[in-house]
Amino acid sequence: MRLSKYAVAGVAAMALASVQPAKAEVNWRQFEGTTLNMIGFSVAYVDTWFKPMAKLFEKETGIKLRLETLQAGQMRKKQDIMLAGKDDTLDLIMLQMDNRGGKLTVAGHLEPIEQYLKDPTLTPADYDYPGDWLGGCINTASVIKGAPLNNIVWSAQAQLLHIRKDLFAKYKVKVPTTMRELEDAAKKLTIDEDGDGKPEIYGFMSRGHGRLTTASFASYLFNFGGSWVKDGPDGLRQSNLNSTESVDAFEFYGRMIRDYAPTSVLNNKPPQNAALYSAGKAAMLSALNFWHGLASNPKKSRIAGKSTTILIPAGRAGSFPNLPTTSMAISKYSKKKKAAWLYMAWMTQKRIMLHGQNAAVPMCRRSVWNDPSYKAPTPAWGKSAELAAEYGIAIAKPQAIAIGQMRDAAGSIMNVAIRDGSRAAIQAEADKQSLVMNELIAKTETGIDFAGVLPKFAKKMTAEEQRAPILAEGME
Amino acid sequence: MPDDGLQARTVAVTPDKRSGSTLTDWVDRNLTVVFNVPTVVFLVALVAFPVGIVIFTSFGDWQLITNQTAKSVGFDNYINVWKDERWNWSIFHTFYYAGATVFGQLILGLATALLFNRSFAGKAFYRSIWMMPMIAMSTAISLVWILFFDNAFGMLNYVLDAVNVAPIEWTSSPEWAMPSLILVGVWHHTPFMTLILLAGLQSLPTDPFEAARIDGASRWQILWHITLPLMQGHIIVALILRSIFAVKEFDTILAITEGGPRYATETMNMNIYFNAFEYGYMGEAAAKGVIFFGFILLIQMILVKLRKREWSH
Repeated sequence: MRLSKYAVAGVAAMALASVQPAKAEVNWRQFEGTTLNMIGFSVAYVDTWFKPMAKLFEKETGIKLRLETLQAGQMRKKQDIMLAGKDDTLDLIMLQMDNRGGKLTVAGHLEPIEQYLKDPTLTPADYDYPGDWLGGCINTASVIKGAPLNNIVWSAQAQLLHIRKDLFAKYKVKVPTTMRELEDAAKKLTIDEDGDGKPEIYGFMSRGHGRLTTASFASYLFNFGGSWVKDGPDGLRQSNLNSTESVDAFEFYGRMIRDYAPTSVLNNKPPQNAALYSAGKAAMLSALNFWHGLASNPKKSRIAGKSTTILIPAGRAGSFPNLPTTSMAISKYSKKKKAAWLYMAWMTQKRIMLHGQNAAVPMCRRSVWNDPSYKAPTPAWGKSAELAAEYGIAIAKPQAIAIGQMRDAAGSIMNVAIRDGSRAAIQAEADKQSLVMNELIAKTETGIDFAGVLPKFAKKMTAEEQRAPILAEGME
Repeated sequence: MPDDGLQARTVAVTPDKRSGSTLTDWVDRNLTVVFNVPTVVFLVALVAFPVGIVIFTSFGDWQLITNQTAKSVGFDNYINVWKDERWNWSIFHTFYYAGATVFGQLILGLATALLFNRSFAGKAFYRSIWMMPMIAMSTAISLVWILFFDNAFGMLNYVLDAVNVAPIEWTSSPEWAMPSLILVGVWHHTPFMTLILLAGLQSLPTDPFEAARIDGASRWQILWHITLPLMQGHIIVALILRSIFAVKEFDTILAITEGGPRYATETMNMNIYFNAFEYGYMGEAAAKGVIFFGFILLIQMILVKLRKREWSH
């Protein structure tokens, strides 16, 4: 009798289950005929991934994407002005959360997206955010403590060390895993082939131009144990650029540029540095991983097939890859927020991100790195980019509301570190600029709680992992 | 005998007498007002309104991103700007740049104008070549000069190296960055100075020169005692125009140095630009803009007064 009761209950449950509505699915054509406006960076990945995908997106969804791409500085200004003017014609923006994420979040210009993430009619069931996202990417997605999620971080571009495999082999130089080895390699690979006192090949190159140096310098700063800011006694953050560790990092980086790089880097912007490296003028280039595309292009490079990337060598404090990720976000003032989210969700699906991954645009989804169809441009590039995406932190700039002035302050110290180089001069400039930074923090950040990018939030990389890209390339 | 047909046609095309004549009469009576309306509308919309907005903004604490609900802060912005060390330096940089470029342009412009005022073979060709920088776009020439200034691979250091002179960190050292910009400014705008002064030279009366030559005056005496005094009006016009443009110089500086290194080439309008669009401090930038406008007005007034004095002589 009892058995039959359970049987009845089971049958009833099955019957109920069978009459439940089918699980909601995303109708990708639900906003057919809509046009979305997006402003983004004019960088290599726009041509290799965004533009081809925009055509596919329109074909699959019937939504047209008007993508305006601008040089980073102009893009930021245009977005800022349109957002401040509450311009409802702007639907989507591309941004780096470690740069302007803080101030745009505080100003409330970005639409919170958790509601869309939870909506089964707008987000595929297998979307898996943040489960399928690499740790470093998730580190960079949130800038202000307690603020709702307002962006999807997609690009896991990282600052890596591009190296000439052929030169390391020819001159039998150890591929560096520590800062001391890095300087040793730069010294040995600054090569004056014709003996005229001027090197034909410089040992090292990295950014040396004003505020732009922050992005390349960040890993050196943190690996030496320094940081942009620290927690102050009054609850406000304060500059940490005049600490012993930070000044050590400035001194080291300044010396590397002064002694082993062409003096052009004081003026160069990243494309010029990458062009010089691709022209075979340097043995190592500290730069974003997507520049490998230029170095490996036989039509544009003299070193095609001779270059790969490794992690920036570890310092006394460890190895903290700088991961200046790029996110997509929806303008708070857009009238097409759901369609805009649909675009973001569509672009960040695994199959779409895999297109980018296979075009050497490093992606934040873990599963695309493990996909059988993915083949890294070089084994070391693949390994170093993946490790950076896993362990990276958003340290490219001193995350702040007054981000522009803070970067200018750091650039000013770097100019002294490169051109003068004396410890006393660097310390004096660091003290002076720290006062400027502290004033800015007090003026602009009262009541704002930055998530912070101190190493304590980062996972520690092991020495084996630091060597893994080198081993993968068979260079040890 | 009037032509009936013509009379009939004339009557047919005559407009309604009452409405037509009223409008025409009104226009006739207020011709000066009607003709000035487009100018006034243009000036109000494109000059007075923006200037009014800037002045209004300068009394508030509006920040582009983080404080959009600005409140009035009275004259705080005007007082606080003088505590900003970068702003004070930017005033010095502005007048250093403007003074040096205009001085260089005047000397070279006068020399070339005197040269092109003489007859020599191929003059038209050389004059056309000389005038070329004037018609080039600032951003384009800046990009070319960036290549020239390159510390390691640039043409200027290549030339210095060829004559055994140590290379110069042209735009990357705070000491040399401003002289580098002045060099570009002189190169770019001297032809304009030449053009004005050459026009002046060609309009001068010939009698005083002939009389001086008959009296046995040397070339130097003619230049110093006749040419330059007669040219004073043209020189002052050229100085007014070039000084105003030099104080406002923006695109070349932004393209070549971005105000750096270490703010060594940050002029007033660069400082205002950074404050407004890089840092978002609209109130502060507006106050600086009003002060900057005051400086330009002052220069213009001084130079116009000089010109009036020269005319009264």
